[in-house]
Amino acid sequence: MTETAIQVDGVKKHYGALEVLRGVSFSVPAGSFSAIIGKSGSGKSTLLGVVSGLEKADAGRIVVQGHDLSSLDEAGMADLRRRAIGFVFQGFNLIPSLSALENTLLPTFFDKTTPVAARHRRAVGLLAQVGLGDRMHHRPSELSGGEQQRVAMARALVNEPSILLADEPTGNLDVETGAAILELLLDMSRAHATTLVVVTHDPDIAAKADTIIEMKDGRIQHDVA
Amino acid sequence: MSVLRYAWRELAFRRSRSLITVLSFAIAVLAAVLLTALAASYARAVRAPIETVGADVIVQITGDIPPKLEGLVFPHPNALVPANAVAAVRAMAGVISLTRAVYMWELAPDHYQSILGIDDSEAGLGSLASRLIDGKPLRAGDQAVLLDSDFAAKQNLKTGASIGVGGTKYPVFGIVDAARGGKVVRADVYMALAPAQALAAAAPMVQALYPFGRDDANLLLVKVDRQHLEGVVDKVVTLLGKKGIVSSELSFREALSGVLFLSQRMGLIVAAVIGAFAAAFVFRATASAIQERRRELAVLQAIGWSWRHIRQQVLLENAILAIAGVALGILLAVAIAGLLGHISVTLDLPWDLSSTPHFIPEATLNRTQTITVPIGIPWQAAAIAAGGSLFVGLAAAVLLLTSAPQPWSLLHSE
Repeated sequence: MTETAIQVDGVKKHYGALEVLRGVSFSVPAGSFSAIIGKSGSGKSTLLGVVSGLEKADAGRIVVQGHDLSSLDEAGMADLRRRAIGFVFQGFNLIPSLSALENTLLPTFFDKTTPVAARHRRAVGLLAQVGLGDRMHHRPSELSGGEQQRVAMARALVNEPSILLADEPTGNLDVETGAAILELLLDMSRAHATTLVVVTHDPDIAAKADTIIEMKDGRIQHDVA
Repeated sequence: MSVLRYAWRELAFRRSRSLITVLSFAIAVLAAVLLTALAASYARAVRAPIETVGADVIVQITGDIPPKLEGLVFPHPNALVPANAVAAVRAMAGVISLTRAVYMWELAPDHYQSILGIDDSEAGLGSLASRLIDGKPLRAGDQAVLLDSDFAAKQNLKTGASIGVGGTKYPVFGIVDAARGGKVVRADVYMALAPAQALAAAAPMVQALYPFGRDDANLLLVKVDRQHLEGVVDKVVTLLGKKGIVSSELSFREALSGVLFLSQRMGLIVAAVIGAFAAAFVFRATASAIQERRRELAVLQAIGWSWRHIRQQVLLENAILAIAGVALGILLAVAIAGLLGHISVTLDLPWDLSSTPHFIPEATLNRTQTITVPIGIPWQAAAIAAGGSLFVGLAAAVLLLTSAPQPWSLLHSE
């Protein structure tokens, strides 16, 4: 039986009178690549928010790596994200005051189990894997968009998470760079055996996914394996 | 990389804001420390005239003018202080020690000198010994004198010479420094209490007014626990009635009331206002920094920092700014105090405290005393200002980061 990385049952979310998620249910098998697609405003990004615990669902149940999110407090949720979830955002979201290496190390600060030197080695290794071995001391303002997204990928993987959540990871990049970043994301995901969930409006990205979850008006219209 | 390094990077990245926040802390600390230092210096200046004689309260009684101004006489602010009054003062709560003295003028057609006979105590012969610039100190049993340096120079007298007082010759044991003694209870000739009491008891113009015995005094120097100063002064005033002359630093406060008000009350108000503005600015700066960094804090939440970790990080940053501000403020205060060096206050001393016969022109003493007090750093005030700054910095971070927001709206793509 395939292990389930994410289980979502009847999740609802509204902002004021606007219902953004209207009872969404799906599951993501461990190690798979799922694409959540849909038009702008369909609720696909909000779905990623509630799955990560960064947005609270109004109703329904979300289980990530066996943890029911409703049973976790803020610190417990932070701990789960630190250990099990890596994020890649459309806007990169790097800390502007820190270098690429320091940004990559940021999620490891409170890792009590791994020695500092080992964490440092892992961050340096990841930056080398994404092709930034010679630019790890540069600040985000000194890097191109593609390079910043590579740093974000290294940061997302530094704690060896089992799940990688990507929100429009190529949305801010030109076509060529976007394609390269997507390939790298898939390669890294496979190499680190992570479950990959990508929110995108790009059908070319969705075409590479094991599962496509199509959102429309806060509901799953198609769930294609 | 550590949280400390991250904090440093963040503060360096927002250089202008960090610098202005540090300056806010520094200005508040500088104002508090410097104004407290000035207030403390003026308060010390007020104490100085009487402190120089080693006492806190000087007690005298107004008497009468003798029938003839010749030989040994008591100046009219130095009437006999009755033995029961001496005992009552000595027994008052807060009185640490009491030094008895006899202050006299010796008047002759061609000559005038003031004489002070004093107990063997810290405020008495001990105080004289500390001002000795030549010769040896007096002891209680000595039938000898010490001379004021100005008087000795004028009379061309040196250690080893002798001088007549009340018809008796006394060897000069030494010379005391007039400048270091101040002008309160200053005399030309100093001797132990017993010979002065004997001279007064034998002086016709003293006996014409008072039944002065060989164990009496006409001047008391009282050392008082500072917490009880006002209480002791009130009690002595009540004890002696209208004729009592009770001098203490309180007597000089009135003369310096304007300066003291400015330095103490206004100083505190100004320091409090500056502190309040600085605190408001620190709150505002922290709030702006948090607002600017909302997205950054959301990223930290997304990558697994708990809200407690995030709050600790901002606390650490504010603590660094506060510590830097406190250090800068204290450094500036030390530098400015060093540049100013001291405060100078000119006081007009009351005639009662160092009476000279105004009918003898050459005996007239300039009673204007300029007191110079160094400006020292009040470390207790500095510590309070430092603690306050740290509190404000930490409180701003704690109050502005009370509960964790849901950060997804700052991070997602739609």
